[in-house]
Amino acid sequence: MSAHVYGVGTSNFGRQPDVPLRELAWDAVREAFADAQHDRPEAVYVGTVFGESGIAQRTLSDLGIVGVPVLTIENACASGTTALHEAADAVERGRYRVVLALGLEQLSTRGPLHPEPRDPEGGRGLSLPGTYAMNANRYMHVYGLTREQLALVSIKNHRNAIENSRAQFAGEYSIAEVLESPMIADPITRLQCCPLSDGAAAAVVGTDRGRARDVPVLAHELRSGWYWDHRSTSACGFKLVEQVAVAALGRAQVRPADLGVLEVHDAFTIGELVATEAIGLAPEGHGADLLERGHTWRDGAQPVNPSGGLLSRGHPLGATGLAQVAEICWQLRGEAGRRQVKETSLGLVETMGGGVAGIEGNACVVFVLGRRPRHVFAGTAKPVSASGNANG
Amino acid sequence: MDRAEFAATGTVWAATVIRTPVPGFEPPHALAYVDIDDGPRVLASVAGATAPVPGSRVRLATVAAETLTVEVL
Repeated sequence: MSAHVYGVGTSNFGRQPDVPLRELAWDAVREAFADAQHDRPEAVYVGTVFGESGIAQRTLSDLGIVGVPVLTIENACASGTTALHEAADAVERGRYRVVLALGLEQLSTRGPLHPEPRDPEGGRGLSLPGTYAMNANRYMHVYGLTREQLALVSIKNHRNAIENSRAQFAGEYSIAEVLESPMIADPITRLQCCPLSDGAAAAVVGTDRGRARDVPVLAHELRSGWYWDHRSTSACGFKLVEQVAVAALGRAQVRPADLGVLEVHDAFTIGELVATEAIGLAPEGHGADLLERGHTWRDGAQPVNPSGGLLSRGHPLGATGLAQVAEICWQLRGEAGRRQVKETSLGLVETMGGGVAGIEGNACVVFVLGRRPRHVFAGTAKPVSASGNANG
Repeated sequence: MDRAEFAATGTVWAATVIRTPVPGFEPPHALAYVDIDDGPRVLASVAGATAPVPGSRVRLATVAAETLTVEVL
């Protein structure tokens, strides 16, 4: 039984310390219900990292969603997509016909995130920006990645967010402005870091009800990281994203080149480069070429983070994955307004949650959403070339 | 699990300088992943506030229960 996204919704994103978190969640759920034309989920899966005990039921009871199974899931930055992963799986297995996945987080009232001091990394003072900075430093040394190329990720995503009224930040920046913003962890500057955000996002997922507007879930995969292989030459996390993406694309029977729009985990600029390479848009170490060629800009062949990404839309941890899914659904349906990318039937979401030392990530989730392009022969898992015939 | 002994020298895999406050650490604070010559990759503080270039040779300067500091050779 295949799962379809009936509807999506989000709150505004930003620092909203005076708005109760449940009200942000109501905005997301109400919009998702209206979009889905369905408001009676048989179960609710909620992703949050720091939400207090009972946050899910507290939020849902005010909306009249009571008496159904409600589960709260924590999976670091991938909590929201993990909730949808489990929701879609439950639909596919026939356990429920319609499930609501909800992600929510309020960080403005909490302050900056600090590494876990009981972990060896955290205990030695390696902040979260620091972990990404290590990868950026390694990339600069091994692949010749420049600070200017890194800055392009920030410039692209902040520009994309200009057309996203719900984004926390947006703007036209120069390379110099990105590089001259305060240094957080060399070489990552402030404009290359996601902000502290509050927000919520939701998706209603259910069995195929035969509506063209519903977005098919072609594949979804979740893994937590294996031990970081110290003999590997790859950046920490690369192999995990690659494994999950290969598994998801394989299950969906599509190739990286078939993807028409992507939302990936750009918590820090280097994250987008590593993700786009691991997904297969470029060879390892060559992600910056995609930016320089315009390939991943909004009007490029494979736009990445048209919403503005985590860097600009914001990164309310538990809500992030479902905000990514909402953007891809809007884009695939042609409902993204002034930030609409060129017509495409196929999109991908990648969320990466980290924080635990010694492994490549707490969790990576990849969703392939939409419909296979016509040249892909649905009867085989074997990729076919764009120019070749489908029976090859 | 067994105890193992490794050389006191290694090569920097990557390094950074943390410039924001982390509880218990005063910025700027240089950190490096060091590939110990015959052992694993470890995270260590770097003496001084400069990030050594990957590939730099380093030596363990301080090893204690909660701290590990290297200096550039």
